[in-house]
Amino acid sequence: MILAAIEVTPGWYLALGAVLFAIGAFGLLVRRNPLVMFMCIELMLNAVNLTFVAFGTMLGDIGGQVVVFFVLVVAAAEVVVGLGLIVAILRRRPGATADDLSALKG
Amino acid sequence: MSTIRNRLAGEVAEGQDLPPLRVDVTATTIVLGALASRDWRPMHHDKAFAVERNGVKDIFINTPNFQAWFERYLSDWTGPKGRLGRMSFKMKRSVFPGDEMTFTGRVARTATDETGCHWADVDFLVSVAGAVVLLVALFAGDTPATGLRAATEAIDEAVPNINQLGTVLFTDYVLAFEITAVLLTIAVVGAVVLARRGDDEAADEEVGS
Repeated sequence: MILAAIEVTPGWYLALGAVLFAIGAFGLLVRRNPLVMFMCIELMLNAVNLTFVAFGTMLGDIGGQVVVFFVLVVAAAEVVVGLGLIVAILRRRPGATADDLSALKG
Repeated sequence: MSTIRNRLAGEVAEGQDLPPLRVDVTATTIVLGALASRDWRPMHHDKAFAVERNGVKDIFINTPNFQAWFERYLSDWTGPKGRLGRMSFKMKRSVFPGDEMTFTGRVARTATDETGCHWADVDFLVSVAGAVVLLVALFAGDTPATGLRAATEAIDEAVPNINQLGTVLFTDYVLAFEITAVLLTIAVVGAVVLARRGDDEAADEEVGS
């Protein structure tokens, strides 16, 4: 097997994290559905988590894994509030996109 | 050490330097230390594993072996009646065969507790060819202290990952931990407020349209 000969180093995880982050950033900029934008933000957060763990392993420091916990907690708080907002908005205006949400514009 | 005698409290002064100890590290040093501390993880005796799986150049000294070297360095200085009370250290880089470790130390503080036991806080430094490997603070005295706290930051292969994460989370990161608890509470309150079907929803619909 050729696959068995490939050695997975921390660099691979860093590359994967970069790719995931790029997908998330791209999706956030391109899509206009608030729910999909939300998922893209989650993708970026978890790409950063993966990077933290990869660097933590490379440097032999447990702090990288601890930071992931805090990122997860902040992401959870963000999901709770963000989903509440999106549900409230979509309930009032079904099918609203991010561009339509200009109620606060001066 | 040619002669080992007990050092008395009167001979210890703050700012005093400990005589340096130089150790030529060989593969035998590393393997023996790993075996003595019952650390069977392969990166401490199997060079191929260390190179391929850990991505380092050779096998390296494990954490308990470092602890043993500190205790040896300290007890060389205090004499056989001196006792290590507590140690904490932070590992900056690994030590490989062929390195020459240099231990240096300085007495940072001396104190006498309520039982009349004399204590000396000793700051340690281990360097390899000028590079600082470990920053160590040792607390030496002639009665055992209550707790022995090892390094909390460095990943220790001898301790299960979950245990070590829990230890770090509740020591070094305890403030952040508490703040996240508050953050989650705020999020829950926010979700309840947002999801609530309010009385003024009809009025809001006029604004939203």
